[in-house]
Amino acid sequence: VAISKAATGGPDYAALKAGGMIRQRQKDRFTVRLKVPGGRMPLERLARVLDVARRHGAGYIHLTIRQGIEIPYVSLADLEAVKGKLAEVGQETASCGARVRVPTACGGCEYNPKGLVDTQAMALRVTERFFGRGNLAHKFKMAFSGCPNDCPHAMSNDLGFLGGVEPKFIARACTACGICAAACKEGAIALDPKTNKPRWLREKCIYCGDCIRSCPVDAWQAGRTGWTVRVGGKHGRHPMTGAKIAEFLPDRKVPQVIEAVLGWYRKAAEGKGRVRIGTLLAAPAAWRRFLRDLAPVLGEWAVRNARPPHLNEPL
Amino acid sequence: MGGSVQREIRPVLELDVTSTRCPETWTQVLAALGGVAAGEAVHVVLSAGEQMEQVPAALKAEGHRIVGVLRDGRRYHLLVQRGGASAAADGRACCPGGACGGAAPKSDRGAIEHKAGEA
Repeated sequence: VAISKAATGGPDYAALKAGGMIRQRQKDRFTVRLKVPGGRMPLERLARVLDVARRHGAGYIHLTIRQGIEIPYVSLADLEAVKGKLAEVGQETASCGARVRVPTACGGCEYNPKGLVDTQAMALRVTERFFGRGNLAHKFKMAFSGCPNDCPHAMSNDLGFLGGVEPKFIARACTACGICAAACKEGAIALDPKTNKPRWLREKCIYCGDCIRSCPVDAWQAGRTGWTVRVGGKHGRHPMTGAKIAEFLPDRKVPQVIEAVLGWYRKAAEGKGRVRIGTLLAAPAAWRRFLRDLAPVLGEWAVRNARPPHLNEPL
Repeated sequence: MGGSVQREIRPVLELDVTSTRCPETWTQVLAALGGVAAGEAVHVVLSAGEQMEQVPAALKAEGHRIVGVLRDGRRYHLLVQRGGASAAADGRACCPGGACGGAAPKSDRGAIEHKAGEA
């Protein structure tokens, strides 16, 4: 974003904000918000951020609630130079306002023993394709959690993706040791009183994979693995928990679902002002329309009888 | 009592960690296994709840084998045979059932590229 002059002759604050440079209460001072998908920052970039903050900032950086880094107190006159220095190491600025924000993510399956999917790779893919998309009624946030523990709070994002694995039972391998039932925190495995063999209670299972990880003889194995998709979550003054619309969605379908949800949101919000997708979807008629419109994209991964998102605390 | 025990494997050590809390539970179990030779077994007593939710999976991820289990109310007696090389070291511990087989290519960011839904 060029530091252009608006029609009034002053700085074009809207353009600056869209480019991740946010006006402070102090005159001609800006907070430079950096793009850090999934909270992962290569050390070369971090070193440059340190250099830039030392020279142009106020002696500190701010870690944002969405895993980003902000450099406060950059003067208007320095913005171009700061952007240039960061760009030399591939460090881009983030965004603000009514557009697709930088996705957040946990460490995922790469090094976390609970991780089921590669959240970091997906956060990068999604950033490349969707970051900064505008023409929306309000902000649009996405998050990727490697497992149902949801450390990155994917459930309170406009679109949240959480790794899940469907356990598959190999009866002939089972030695009836009962460890799986003891390891399951959800009570989703019942042991037969006579044989001590496990029985899976799908309705209680959250697809975390604890049974698979704990079984000494691999009688529980990984079946379908993919993303649980939740839509309509948000934090803010009136937090909402996103509603589950799909399970075990494969990686290749994730961009299609995001595209479809963004398209739906753009149309559904027309004429309704500054509104988040969760607020729209809380209306029963809109929820029915949403499920109908998304059905072809969600396909076999759609959740049956999906319930709409709702305010965590009713107004 | 429920479960099964491979009687031919005799423990060389018994360890009751039911009165411990995380992370002491795990450090004591690891220390006990570190004190025996590969192939030898330790009799570990765990309590239902957090210990049974965490320890068996962690043992498996570290490449040890649970070769026998007996349940006595809220107490679980595990016969744990010390493994050789750590399973975590070869990547098998990165996901349940090794969806990527530990053989998935490394991306340029050093991440293991899983193929969700295609396991």
